[in-house]
Amino acid sequence: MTKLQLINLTKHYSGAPEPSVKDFNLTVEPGELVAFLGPSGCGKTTVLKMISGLLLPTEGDVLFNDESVIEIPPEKREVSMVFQKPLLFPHMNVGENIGFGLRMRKQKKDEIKVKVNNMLELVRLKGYADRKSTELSGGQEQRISLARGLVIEPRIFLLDEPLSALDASLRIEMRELIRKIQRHMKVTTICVTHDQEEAVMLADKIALMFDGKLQQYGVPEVFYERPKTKRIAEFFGCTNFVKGTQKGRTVATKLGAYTLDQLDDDNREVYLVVRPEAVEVSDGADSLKAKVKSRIFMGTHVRYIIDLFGKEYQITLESATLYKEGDIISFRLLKERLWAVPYDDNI
Amino acid sequence: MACIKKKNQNNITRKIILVLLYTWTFVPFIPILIWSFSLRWNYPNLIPEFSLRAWKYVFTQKNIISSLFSSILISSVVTAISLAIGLPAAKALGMYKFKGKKLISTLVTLPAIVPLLAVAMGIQVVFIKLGLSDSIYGVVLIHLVPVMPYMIMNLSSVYEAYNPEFEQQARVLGANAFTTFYKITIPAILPGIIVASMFSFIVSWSQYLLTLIIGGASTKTLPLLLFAFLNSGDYAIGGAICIIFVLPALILLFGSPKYFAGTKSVRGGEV
Ligand SMILES: Nc1ncnc2c1ncn2[C@@H]1O[C@H](COP(=O)(O)OP(=O)(O)O)[C@@H](O)[C@H]1O
Ligand SMILES: [Mg+2]
Repeated sequence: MTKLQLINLTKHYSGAPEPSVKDFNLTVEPGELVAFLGPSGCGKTTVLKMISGLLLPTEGDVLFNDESVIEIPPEKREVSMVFQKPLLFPHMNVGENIGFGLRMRKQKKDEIKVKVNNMLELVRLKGYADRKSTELSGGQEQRISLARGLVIEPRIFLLDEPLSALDASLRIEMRELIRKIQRHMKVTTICVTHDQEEAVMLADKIALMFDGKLQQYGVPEVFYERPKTKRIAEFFGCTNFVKGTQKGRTVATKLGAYTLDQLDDDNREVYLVVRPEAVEVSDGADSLKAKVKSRIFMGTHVRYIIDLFGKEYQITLESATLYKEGDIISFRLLKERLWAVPYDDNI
Repeated sequence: MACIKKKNQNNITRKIILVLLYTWTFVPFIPILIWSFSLRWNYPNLIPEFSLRAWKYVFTQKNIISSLFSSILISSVVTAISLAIGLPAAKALGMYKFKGKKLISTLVTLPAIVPLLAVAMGIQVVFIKLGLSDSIYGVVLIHLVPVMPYMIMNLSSVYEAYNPEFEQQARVLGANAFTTFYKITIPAILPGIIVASMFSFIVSWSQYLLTLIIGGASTKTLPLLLFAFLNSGDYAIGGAICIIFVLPALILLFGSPKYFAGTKSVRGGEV
């Protein structure tokens, strides 16, 4: 298994006004599955291409198990990459497509045949080896592409938005398949996506990128509970930000003062981050009273758009008790689930 | 399921169209074919007297054989040259964006639209000065004028659909740049190259006027000979030459459908 390190990786395309990737530092532990998450154009593909050797970095280094691979051309780097389009070679049948990498490695014909059939079984397309690669459905094509990338047992496996061309139900099935195979083969993997939910469901860790820069790296939970900035919190679906002042561990806002043990000591202007689900119905002394403006039924839960001191917030409550438009909800914030991010008046 | 059903319907429609097309193309050739195997075909006989005279004549007459060979030679050379020029030109037009691309595309297609007689008259004057008139080189050069537009238009649509990510995919799977070119790039665009070449060959093959004006008396290609025999009134021999003359077009008609496999495959999949 291979550990991957990216060190100050920078790519400045010639002619571009600014670098597309800036000082990117990241370590992926052996056998981990990391999701690169970020809006379109933020540089995700560029990073993958630098890891695979298809693109030379302007600056920085790529290490596999602490050794630089920057001088190694893509065909020798033992990195395999699956693109958004399945890119099945049209003049080869399914089996020949999967076996391509093995033929390039001059492996024996009968060995290739065995490996190809094993891979086909793994992607649940047993018996497809002799099919034409131009007569498959989109989901089948992408599974063949996956098999072709994995059969060479790469040191690093890269997937560039492999699911974005598939429809919703197929996407979930494929996501689970990727997860299962990755666990089975224990290959260090990076999967690019612009879908936050997909990243959370798929990955051990998420690397969030905006504008060519790594914003935050960690297990999926931290992006909900400990986002570094308002923009990150927003990307993960939080809409409630209350301006306040932090002194020590206490954040004072117009919704009250909260002492949060999860914060580091600091003196600064902050936004109190209140996830919609970080509230509970309560009549206690510290409770807040808000008027329901509208509601969205979400099955087990209901999302209420409420008016609190003249501002709109969103809270999510269980659907056991339903409030109507115009009702007053009395609730309190769950202290242990609150968080604070630096105040930034640009945003 | 719906997708598969639609595909089947498409297939059936395609087959019907092909059958109609073939019929439309072949019916006119039936009398010509009969002519070529006849001694004479006089009123009121419904069926002519059978004879191999015309075919024996065609395959023994030196001037017919040699004009067949010069036709094959000229059209092959024209196709090869137009392919050599067309491949890079079409790659630029099909794959890259640049200033003035529209203008260049229009200029490239112009010779296919402008009446060739006008072009030929003008060029002949220049060719006489350069000593290219009355020579096979001149004929090859002048054939390139109507051939290039077809070649470039055909090839650039191949490149437009071709996805350069195929090459990157091959590289990461372990193919070096050279292997990638001849194992991936060439086979992927080969069907397009074949179709474009066949078209170009036929455009050159069927030139009459240009060959006559530039080639003068020295270069006798098949169409020139065909006109001569038709004028002389020997329909049997005229018919036999005519059959040979349309042969490449028929090969194209039958051979090409399998190369029109659709562009999805060269794009690398649907998105
Ligand atoms: N070959 C290139 N030349 C110039 N700029 C490029 C090139 N490829 C990508 N870019 C730019 O680099 C940025 C990042 O692109 P990319 O890595 O493809 O983003 P993502 O995969 O996250 O959508 C974009 O602004 C894009 O326009
Ligand atoms: Mg991308």
